[in-house]
Amino acid sequence: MAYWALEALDGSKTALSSLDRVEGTDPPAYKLGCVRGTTTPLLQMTDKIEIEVKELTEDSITFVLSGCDTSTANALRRVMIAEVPTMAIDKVEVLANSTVLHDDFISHRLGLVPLFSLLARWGDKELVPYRHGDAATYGTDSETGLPLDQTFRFNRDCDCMTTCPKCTADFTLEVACNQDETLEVTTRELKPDQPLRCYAADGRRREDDGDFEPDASAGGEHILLVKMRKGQKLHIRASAQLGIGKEHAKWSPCCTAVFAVDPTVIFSEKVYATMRDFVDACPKKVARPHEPRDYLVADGANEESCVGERERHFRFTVESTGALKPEEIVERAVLKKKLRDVQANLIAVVDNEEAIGRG
Amino acid sequence: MVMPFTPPALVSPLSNTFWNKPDDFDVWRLPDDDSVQKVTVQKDTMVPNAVTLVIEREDHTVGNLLRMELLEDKEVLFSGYRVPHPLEPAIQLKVQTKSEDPGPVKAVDTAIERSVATLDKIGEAFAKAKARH
Ligand SMILES: [Zn+2]
Repeated sequence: MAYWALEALDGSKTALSSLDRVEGTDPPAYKLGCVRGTTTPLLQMTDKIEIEVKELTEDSITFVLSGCDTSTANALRRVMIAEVPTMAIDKVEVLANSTVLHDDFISHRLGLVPLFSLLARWGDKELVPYRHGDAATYGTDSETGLPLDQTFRFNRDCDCMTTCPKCTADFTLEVACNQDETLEVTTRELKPDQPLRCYAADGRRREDDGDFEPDASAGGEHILLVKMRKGQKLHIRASAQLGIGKEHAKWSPCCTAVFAVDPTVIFSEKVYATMRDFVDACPKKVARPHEPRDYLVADGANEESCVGERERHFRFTVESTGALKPEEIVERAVLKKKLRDVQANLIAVVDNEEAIGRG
Repeated sequence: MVMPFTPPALVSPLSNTFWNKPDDFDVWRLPDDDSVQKVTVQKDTMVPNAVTLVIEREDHTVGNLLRMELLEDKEVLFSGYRVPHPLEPAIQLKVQTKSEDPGPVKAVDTAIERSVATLDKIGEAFAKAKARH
C-alpha cells in the first residue's frame, strides 16, 4: 500500500506530474502512483471550489471545503491557528497580592484568558473601521471617546510612546475576601476600561452588526483565576494588546482547527458485482466501483479493493476559544494578505536588480 | 475608579536593549529599520533558469502553498522549499523553469496570482455557505 502513502503526502501532484512521463507506457510499468483524474490546470479547478457549512454553534463551526489543493487547505488551517489577531493580556501590574498563587502564576493565567473583541484584526497603521458605514451608527466609547467601530492597532504600529487606548485595552481586577467561605475569583471580576471594545469572553454569543454592547444580563461562563480565603487581597492592573498566535499561543483564537479527509473505498468490478448490497448499504457512499482509469499498478496490481482518501475534499472543524466567533476565525484567515506581501516584495526586488531580469 | 497605568520600566519600548533575546514578535514581523528584506532573489550559478528565493518571516504556510502551486505550472521543472533552521523565521524556495521566459521569478509571481484567485473563491464560497446555513 506504499503508493497510497506517497499520494497522501503529496496530494494529487505526484500523480499529475508523473503523468507526462508515463504517457505511452503500459500501466504496469508505472510504479509511482495511482493515476486518477486528469491534469486539469488549477485555474479551471478554482471554479469547482465549494463550501458547505455543516454545523455552526456559538463556539464551533464544521464545514466541508472541496475543490482546492491540500496545501491550500493546510495553509488555511495554519493561518487560523497562528495568524488571526486577537486581544490578550500582555502586561500585568500587580499592586497587591496576598493570595496563595504568586504574581507570575496569576499573570500567566490572565494572559491565557480569551478576550472577546471584534475590533482585533489586521489593519494598517491607521485605525480602520470594522464595518464600513455610518460611524454614527455605532457611537463612541464614553470612556475614551474612540469610535466604537475602530479596530485596535498593534502596539508596535501605534504612535503612542508606551500604551494608549488605540492599541491597548486595560483591565482592573480588585478583589478582597471578607467572607468565611472560599471566594472564587473569576474573569467576571476582570473589569475592562473599554467595556464596549474588548472584554473577557464569557461564552455567550452576541448578535452581530455593530452591537458591541456586552450582554449585561447575568449568567455566562466565567473562568476561575484564583481562590481566596478570608483576609486575602488581590489588586491587578492588566493591559491587553493585539497579537497573533505565532508570537504566543494566548493570541490564538482556536482551540482546535483541524481538517479530516473522507475515505474512499474502491472495489474492483468483480468484487463490486458480488458486494453490491454492501456498497449500497453505506449511507455516506464511501465505497465505489473502480473505474477503468483507476488502474492500480503497484505490487498486487489486481487488488480487489483498496482504501484511499477522497481527493480535494476537506472536512474542517474549527473551535473558538471565545476570543472570536468561529465563523469570524475562518473569515479572518487572511492568507491572501501574506501572499500579496511576498508578491509586492518580489517585484520590488526584481525591479531593483536588473541583473536578474526575467531570470 | 480608573487609575493611570504606568508599565514597569522593563517593558518599555527600549526593553530589548537590556538583553540579547530577540523580541517575540521578530518571528512574524520585519524589523522597523528595514535591515531585513522580505524577499531576496539569488540566481543559481550552476543550473539554468533557477533561483533561490529567501522569504523572511514566513514558514510552511506560505512555503508549501507556493511549492504546490508552482508544481501545477507546466513551465516549472522544479520547485521545492525548506526551512533552513527552526529558530530562524525564514524559508528558502527553489524554482527552476524550462525556459527563460517565463523565468522562475515570473513563475512565482503567477503562482501567487493563481493562489490568490483560489483564496478569493474560497472567501466567496464561505460567505455564500454561511448565508445558506
Ligand atoms: Zn497606542
